[in-house]
Amino acid sequence: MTSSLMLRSLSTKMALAVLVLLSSSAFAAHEPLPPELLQAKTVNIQNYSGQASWADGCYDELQKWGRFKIVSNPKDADLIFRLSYRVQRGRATIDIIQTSNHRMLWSDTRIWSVKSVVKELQGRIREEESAGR
Amino acid sequence: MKKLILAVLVLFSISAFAGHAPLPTELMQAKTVYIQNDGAPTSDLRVCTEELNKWGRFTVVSNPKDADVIFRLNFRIENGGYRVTSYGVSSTMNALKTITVLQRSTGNILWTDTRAAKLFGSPTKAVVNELRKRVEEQEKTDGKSK
Repeated sequence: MTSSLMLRSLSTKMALAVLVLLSSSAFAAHEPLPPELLQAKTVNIQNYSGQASWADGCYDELQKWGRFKIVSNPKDADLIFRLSYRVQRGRATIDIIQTSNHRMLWSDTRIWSVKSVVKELQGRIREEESAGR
Repeated sequence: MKKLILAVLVLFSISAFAGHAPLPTELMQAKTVYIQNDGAPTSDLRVCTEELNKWGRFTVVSNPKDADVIFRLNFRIENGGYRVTSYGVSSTMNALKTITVLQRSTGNILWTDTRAAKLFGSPTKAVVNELRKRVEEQEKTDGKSK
């Protein structure tokens, strides 16, 4: 085998290994969500981000999803969706807090997008429910 | 091609008129406001008072204990990244003005928004006007649903 053929074969194998690694990480199992999050019915959005549009985006995405009833009074909510802005430029975080005991149930951060955090949560809940956990 | 342009226009118009998150009842029912300066220039305090008086919805009070809601004015400088020009690379800074509306009795955040300072126009004025627009919009919607 010539050296160029050997190199080509090696690079094909490496590309294959990278693809396998990427696909396995994409389907890696997630930590199970707390039952309080899965059983929650009502949500209050608290916007600590300083950006009105982020509350709009979160509200819009939750409305589209339709899983939770959005309430204006935190006392009526099972969960608080707390939106915040991280020091690094444009990082949107949603912390989900259980209202009754202030325990943090779930949190995620994305660049500039509150909507994609809600979508991530939606995906995880769907995944967990379809797995019948 | 025409269809593509039409689709883009429709998408833009949908995003432009996308709904706002409803304002909390405590904000809609508030009558009195205390303006708290949390590091903003005093000129912002003046602009905020002027805009609220012009609007006429709230009475601005001098004692926070008499207020239903607190308008907290904040100012921060943020790194706006780098600008590459033919002369070289320079860093840019954004001066950001935030108004956070809090319920006085609970400290809960009822609404918040931020604008960057520009050469013309006051960001504080723009935030107060944004709130005004949203309050009026919600009153219309609430009026329709009754």
